[in-house]
Amino acid sequence: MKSKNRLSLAFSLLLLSSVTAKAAELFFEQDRALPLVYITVAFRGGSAQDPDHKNGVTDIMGKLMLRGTKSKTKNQIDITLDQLGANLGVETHAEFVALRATVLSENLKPFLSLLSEIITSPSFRPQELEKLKKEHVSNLLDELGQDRDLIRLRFDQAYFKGHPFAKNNNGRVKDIQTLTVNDLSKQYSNLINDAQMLVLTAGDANESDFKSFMNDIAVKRADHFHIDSIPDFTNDPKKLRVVIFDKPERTQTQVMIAQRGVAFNDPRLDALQLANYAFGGGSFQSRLMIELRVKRGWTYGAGSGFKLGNQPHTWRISFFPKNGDTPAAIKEALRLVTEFRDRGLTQAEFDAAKTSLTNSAGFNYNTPSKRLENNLIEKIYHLPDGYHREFASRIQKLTLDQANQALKDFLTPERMMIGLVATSSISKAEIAKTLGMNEKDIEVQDYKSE
Amino acid sequence: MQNKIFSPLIALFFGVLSLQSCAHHPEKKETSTVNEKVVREGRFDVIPLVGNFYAKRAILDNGLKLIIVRDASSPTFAYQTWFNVGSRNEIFGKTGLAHFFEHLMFKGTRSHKEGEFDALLEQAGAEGLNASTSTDHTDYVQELPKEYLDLIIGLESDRMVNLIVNDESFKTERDVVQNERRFRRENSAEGLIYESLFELAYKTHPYHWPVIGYEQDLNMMTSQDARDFYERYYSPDRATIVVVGDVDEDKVLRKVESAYGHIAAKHTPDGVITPEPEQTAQRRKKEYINSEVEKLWMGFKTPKYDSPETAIFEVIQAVLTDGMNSRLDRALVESGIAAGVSSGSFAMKDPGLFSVIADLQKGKTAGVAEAIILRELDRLKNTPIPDDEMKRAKNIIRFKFFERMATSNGKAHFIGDNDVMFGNFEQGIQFQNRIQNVTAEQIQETAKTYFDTTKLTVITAVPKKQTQTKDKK
Repeated sequence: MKSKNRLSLAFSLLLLSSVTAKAAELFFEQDRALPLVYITVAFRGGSAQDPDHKNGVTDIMGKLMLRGTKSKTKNQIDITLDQLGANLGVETHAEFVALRATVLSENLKPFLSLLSEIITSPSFRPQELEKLKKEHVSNLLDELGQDRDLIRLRFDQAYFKGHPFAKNNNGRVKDIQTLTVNDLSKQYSNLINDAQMLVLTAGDANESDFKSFMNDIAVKRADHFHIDSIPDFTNDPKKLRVVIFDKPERTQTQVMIAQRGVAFNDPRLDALQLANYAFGGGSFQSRLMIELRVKRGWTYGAGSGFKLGNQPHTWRISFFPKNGDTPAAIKEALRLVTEFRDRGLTQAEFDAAKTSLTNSAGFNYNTPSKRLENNLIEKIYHLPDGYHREFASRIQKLTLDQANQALKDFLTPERMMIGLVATSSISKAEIAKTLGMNEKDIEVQDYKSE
Repeated sequence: MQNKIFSPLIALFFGVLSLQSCAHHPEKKETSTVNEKVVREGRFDVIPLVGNFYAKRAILDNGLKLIIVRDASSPTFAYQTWFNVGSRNEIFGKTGLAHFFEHLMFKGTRSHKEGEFDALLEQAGAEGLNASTSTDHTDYVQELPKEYLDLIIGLESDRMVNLIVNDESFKTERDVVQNERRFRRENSAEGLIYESLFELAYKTHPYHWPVIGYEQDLNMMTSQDARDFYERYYSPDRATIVVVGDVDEDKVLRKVESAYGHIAAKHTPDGVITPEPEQTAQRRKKEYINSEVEKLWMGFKTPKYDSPETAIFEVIQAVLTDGMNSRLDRALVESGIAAGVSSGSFAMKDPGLFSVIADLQKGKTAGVAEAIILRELDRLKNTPIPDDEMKRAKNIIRFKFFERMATSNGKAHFIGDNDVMFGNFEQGIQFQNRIQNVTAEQIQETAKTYFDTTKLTVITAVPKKQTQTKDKK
């Protein structure tokens, strides 16, 4: 009880100190086709900024913001949202956290009033925190039942061990269980701040509708913050690394193969995106789809892509064959990567990828909500305005030599990590044999291990 | 809605398992509200859709329906083809054929060799090129830049009549489908429970088996089965084409008529569909899953999609689990028993299920959640829902409808789904109107009739380890 009072006092002082506010950035686009308004309030800083042993604090902080303000309980907030015809949620990414909302336009004004209160005056009640933690932990445990989610989660933890990218956006069970109101208040102080806030809106409204909202959230917020920049990761695999996330009774293996990727600002990115499209980036005619699915029937889905941010993350391939086909499918995927690096794209592949990406580029910004999202990404990752809209024209300027040179520089098939959600007793020996590895060099981790 | 990582529960229910349609469908009888607004314009019926959008419908001589919505906000269009056939049209021993055949529709035709369909559309910049199969229908979808209307009309009309199913591609694709089955069912806790619920709830009707089919049936299937299925069900009089986007309606009609008009209607009836006998006693099954938390899936038998009760169930769903402050959210999640809860109608052509799904918190049991759910359902029977709660539920439904209609694909999906299920899509609009008129008394009456535990099927899923420990004791 004493502890609770101390924390509340600390938090009140924090809010009272907000005297040097700056105006946040506002992006607005009018679209009157339907009576809906989309609103995103984003803050630079996400799960990568979770302190060590407190993975999940950003996500829990965001979620708890929706569960009570100084003047409203969770129940009151929930009822108000339902009455207004609105939804409001929190999304935590490695480098930003966002409150996402959609509301019936007729109720925009009262909704903005509520949102302003949620942003500026969260109560972080200890009782609500304890309830949220239990729900959240149960959901994280439930995710272990979804193999496709599990491979994504465990892969990053293993690949980036010891680095902020190893942190799960939604946190770790053991860390979440120890979080306190004080932890959340600190994170709120660090991240929820005018200087790193973006407000993006679109839909059936006028820009002036947001004027008082912008003023409210600007004048009430503190203007001091501290975000650790994400350090460079230096522990990439030196040779082929295989990790099995051992789960009983699998009849199918979730496979993820990855190497270090590139950052948004890498000059090779467009060329690599084009090449990736031909390799496995969404085309039914891609090399991965043709070789693994169409010719051999080994997998229902096969794809490749970049995970992008301010720092290089990964370029990854994924597919899910039955156990018996897994060793051969992995071997074939590695052969395809090696061949892709050594021989590059054919002229026909290059032309097809260029045409397809150019013609489909309009779908990247054909709705107000997509344009809102593009704007958010451009701001968060320090991209030039119109980065997404200019994608097609940049792709059109690329040459086959540029694409193939980028592939040669980039791909490292001998130093990739292969992650598998599989039953080790069924799969390990055969995978080692097929890849020419010693069985003991294959790492095995319990699928529940964080 | 509230929580991204919690959304898989909903996604699995409504998205990933979209092989099993769960759209909510209106009744067929009352037509006055919308039909009064239908205006004849040349060969089109013109029908208000949503906001400023109108749909234009024309029917070709061979029975093919064409529905167009003009939306010039982006130089693109959605093109969807809906067939009135699904796993409901299969027989025991051939389960999964409708879905398997959907895969084969992407193979070669007499005019285009295998791979060309995808290649040509990808070159054109197609977005969302895909297909899905449900119990009651099958749809083929894509979006394209506006200048590729001729291309898609040519390709889709070609594969409606000229498909070639050879043994080699059939066998390879069967392996792909078996892998999809492993992905969606065998290696997914939700998939296993879902399959289990329908197998237990339906004894004789085709809804008994999963849309993706059984492994042994898929293994026994031949390419001739696929050719027979195509010959029987892929006919213009079982199809609806929906085009939404930056298009000229008259031009689309001319082109569609030119490409599809010569394809003969087959007038194939549905075939014999074994009806499901009335359920007279509760059915229960326990499943063991690789999970640390228990799960509960409950399903009450409901009338088919075109009954007046379907709109009432929609409001019941909103009251029970939609929005931020629903009854079951408060009773199960707020109280610390469940981590998430959802409900919904599997409203289908034949009697369906109203389901309630709960993911328990660690250490909590499905039995406790079930008792609370039954208590809340009894409350619906015994106490009228207060006005403000009714208003809130209807507001949520209205909001979700607008959200669904916000994209060209969303509008096209709404139209296609409702059209193949009801014979005319405007019933879907009317359904939205009907929801707004549902009364608290109707909800009480419906709850009393259908939330009868003799019509209930329950699957409880428990962690394997926990069970083993208990068994040892």
